[in-house]
Amino acid sequence: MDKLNKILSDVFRLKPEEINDFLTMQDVDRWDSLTHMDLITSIEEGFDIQFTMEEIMAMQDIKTIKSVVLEKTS
Amino acid sequence: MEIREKVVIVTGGASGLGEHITRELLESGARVVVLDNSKESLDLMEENENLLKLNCDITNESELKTALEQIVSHFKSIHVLINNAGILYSEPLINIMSKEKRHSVDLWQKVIDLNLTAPFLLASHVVEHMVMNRTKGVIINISSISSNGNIGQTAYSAAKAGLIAMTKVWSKELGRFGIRSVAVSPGFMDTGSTHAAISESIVDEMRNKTPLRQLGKSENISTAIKFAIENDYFNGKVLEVDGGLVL
Repeated sequence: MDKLNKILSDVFRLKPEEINDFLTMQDVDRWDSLTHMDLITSIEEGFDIQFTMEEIMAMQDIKTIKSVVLEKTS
Repeated sequence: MEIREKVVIVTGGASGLGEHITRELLESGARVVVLDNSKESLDLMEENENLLKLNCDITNESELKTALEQIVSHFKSIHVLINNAGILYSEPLINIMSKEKRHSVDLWQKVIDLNLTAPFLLASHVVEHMVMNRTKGVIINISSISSNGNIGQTAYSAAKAGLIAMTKVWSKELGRFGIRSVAVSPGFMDTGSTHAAISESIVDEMRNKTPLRQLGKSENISTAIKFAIENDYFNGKVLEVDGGLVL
């Protein structure tokens, strides 16, 4: 998950220690719809995976993002 | 981006400058989709396995959606959108000699609908498809030297300036997805639409004011478009192809 945390902190421009499972789209100023797609493509490229539309729509908090990424990479 | 085998939409691609762009792109190996509101012009175009002709009023969003579904079904993806369709219209803001006295609101709206709103609608649908399918691409907006404010062309100049503004916004919003947005801004062109919309005396005056002393040719624009597609670092800028004319 270090790699995912690095992507999250790069995309949201947050310090690594500021990333936690309870962060949601509402908590991060930069997390608008454009940044969301930026995050999606960064994770897809970083892990060589592709999300479905349903997954993209559901990934609105860090806990869900980690869970979906874990599921697709395990 | 290589042009060969890329899917390129050309609006108004069945006649005039658009038809020339379509032919040049087909010759470069692209798969071209022509969206045009003239069925007669579409029917006159030679059939080609890499050409999809769709009769569509691009100011009508539901027709646009249907056309885009047909494109995706036929060619599977979309890489380039060329917003070329438009109407060249001239009318002064006021004309005390006419019955109406002022610029027609209906014609203002018609020019804005086709030259500005339609490119906005098309780009929004095409980019949504590109982003959702992780397709990198280019949006090319055909603006005009009139975007600098050409006397007697309030609506046309406003629409073409708006196209440049949208180009710059999209380059910033969409660059992160590998989607570039550029504008090509022709000067006065030796095309049927120029001669139909502008009096010959004005055309002559513009020719004489152009440092190269000639009107632009369609191939000058298609060359610029091919450059814009092929140069992956060209983004958010306007290619002014106007012979050096300053309005």
